[in-house]
Amino acid sequence: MLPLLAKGVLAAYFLATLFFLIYLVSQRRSLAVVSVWITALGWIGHTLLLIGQTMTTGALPLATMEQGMAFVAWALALALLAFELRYRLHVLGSFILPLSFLLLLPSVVMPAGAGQTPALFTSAWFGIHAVFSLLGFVSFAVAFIVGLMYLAQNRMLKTKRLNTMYEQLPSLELLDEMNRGAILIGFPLLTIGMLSGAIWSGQIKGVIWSWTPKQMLTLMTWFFYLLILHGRMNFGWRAKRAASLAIIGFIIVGVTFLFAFR
Amino acid sequence: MNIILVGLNHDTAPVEVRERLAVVEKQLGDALARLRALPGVQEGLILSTCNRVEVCAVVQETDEGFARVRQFLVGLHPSLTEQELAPHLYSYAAADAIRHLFRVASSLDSMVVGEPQILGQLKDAFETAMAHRTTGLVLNKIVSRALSVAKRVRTETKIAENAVSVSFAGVQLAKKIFGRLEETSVLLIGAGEMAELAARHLVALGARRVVICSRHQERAARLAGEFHGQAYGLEQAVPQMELSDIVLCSTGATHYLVQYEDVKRVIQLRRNRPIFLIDLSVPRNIEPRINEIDNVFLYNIDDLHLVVEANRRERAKEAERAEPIIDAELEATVRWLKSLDVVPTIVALREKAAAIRQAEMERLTARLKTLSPEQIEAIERFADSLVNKLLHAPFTALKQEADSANGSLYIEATRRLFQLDLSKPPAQAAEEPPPQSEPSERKP
Repeated sequence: MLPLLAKGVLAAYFLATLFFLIYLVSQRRSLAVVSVWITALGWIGHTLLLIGQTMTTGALPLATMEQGMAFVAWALALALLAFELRYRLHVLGSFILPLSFLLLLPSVVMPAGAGQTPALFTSAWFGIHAVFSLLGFVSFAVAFIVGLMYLAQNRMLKTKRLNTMYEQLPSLELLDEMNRGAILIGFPLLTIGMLSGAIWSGQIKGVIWSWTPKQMLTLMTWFFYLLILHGRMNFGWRAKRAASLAIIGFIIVGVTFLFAFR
Repeated sequence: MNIILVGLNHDTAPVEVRERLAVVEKQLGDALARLRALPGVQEGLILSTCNRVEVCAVVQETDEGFARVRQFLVGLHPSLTEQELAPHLYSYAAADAIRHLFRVASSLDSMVVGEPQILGQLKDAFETAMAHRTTGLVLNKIVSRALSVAKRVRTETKIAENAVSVSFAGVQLAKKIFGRLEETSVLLIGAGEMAELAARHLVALGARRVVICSRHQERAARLAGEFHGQAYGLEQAVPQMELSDIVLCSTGATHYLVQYEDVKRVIQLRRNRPIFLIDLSVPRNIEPRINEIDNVFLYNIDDLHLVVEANRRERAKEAERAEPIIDAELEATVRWLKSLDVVPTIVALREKAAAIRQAEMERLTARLKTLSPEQIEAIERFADSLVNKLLHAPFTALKQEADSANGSLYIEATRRLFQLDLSKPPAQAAEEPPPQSEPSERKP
């Protein structure tokens, strides 16, 4: 039952991605609206899937990297629907949903075995650590996406080539504002994720800091985003620079993510 | 009942002809009355703008109607002759006339495709005609249909979306950079006409602060007064840039007033907050290399012209998408008009009566099984005679009135009273506020 639901969700995200991408080049608003509805359906399915997985294993499905990615896909889709309600910015879907689709793909293609969940993953601190870290990841993913949109819009305005995509993209001001907001939300989420991870580590290993690549990379990520926020407040690192920094930051986050499930 | 449309527009007639034909508002009532008084003219509407003069009328005979309306147009100005006017006029009848009216209302026939004024002008013309009671059932329906078609075209295509004037193109670019213009402040360097116009748009959209730096003190002071801004000399231009988001430059200077190093410093002082520079002056007053600085967007007059060109092409493409909408609406309207013909109405009424008679006979014979064939025949004769006698008077009246001025009214009433139409006549256009659109820089 659950594998079938997972395939259905993946199919929904794929269809929505397809429509959103066609919308980006064709300007047919109806396509985006259809796409939003497919996304909403897919997201409901995805929510049921996560609940089902939690009930069958007795732990949040966040233990493996594939599961972590699937959770991020879920949160991104939720963020997209929220933005849709608030701003009616269809064009975000063309950027966010492909990412959701790609992140969900591995867990559906290579589902985790139905083995026993080790006791360390049923700890409450693990749950807090995983959820907050991944939500932080989602915020940084949003900052990354609006950063990409910013650079695209910036480039079109600079080169004076104003094509279809130019019309779809929101103003530079709004994109910069969203970038700021996403990092401002992501940073405390990452902080909580990191601290609860340390407590969890203390629970299972007896030490809260053990010089693993995961911990060092996480700390590096944390300092990088601290620098971004500091730079924006004190040195005027906004606009184009903020967009580029959000993109670099997300690359670091991505590497950290790869090590997080070791 | 036939619909005709005779007129000329910016494509078919030079301004020397158009200006003589144009009917000023004060005389519109008289002109309408004269039009309506022409023999054979049942309803009439005059649309007169600086780009077109058109007469739409419901007449008894198409060809005679054409001749009378052309004569009427020649009579609008003492210096006009039929020979002079004839080559500029176009004449449409029936569906073609309605299609033309729909296209005019939707701004597909306008000089600047998608411009918003024509809709209001048609509305005014219609209201004036209604006030003078020169329109009736048919024109009322067709014109309100045209107004709703225009709204559909506007919402379903992007025909009016992109700026087609240089000054408004600048405003739209500013929106792409700053989002809401309420927070922006505007700096005018020099006060050329186009810069002033763009500033006017920006202020209308809520720009917070306007500063004018100009060599001409009194002109700067006058503009500053109008925009509730401040006026300075030209030497203040660069220092003022720090606090300005949008800079409009148009002076007669022959050198670069704003140089690379200046803007480099300004953007640092602004802590990378983007700045939008529009150089409308020829020769240019802002060093072109400035566009290379991050967060600085520099557009000169040619750049804006290119944007406008692209937008015009875009509108032309959107105009093609509007044609199927017009076709569909036209079909529905023509169907409604057909229903106003007397013959199909009589046929429909007769068929309806026959169907009722048939159904009632069947019910009766099913219930009264003991009736003899003779009795049934007697009842059938009774039913026939009842139906025929009842319908005789309406049929006669319809045939008599069909060609009178109120003919369509009788037919419409008949169809409604006897519910002869399954397809409903087109609904009235809903009143919606028009979408925010580009102000025109042309006189109406």
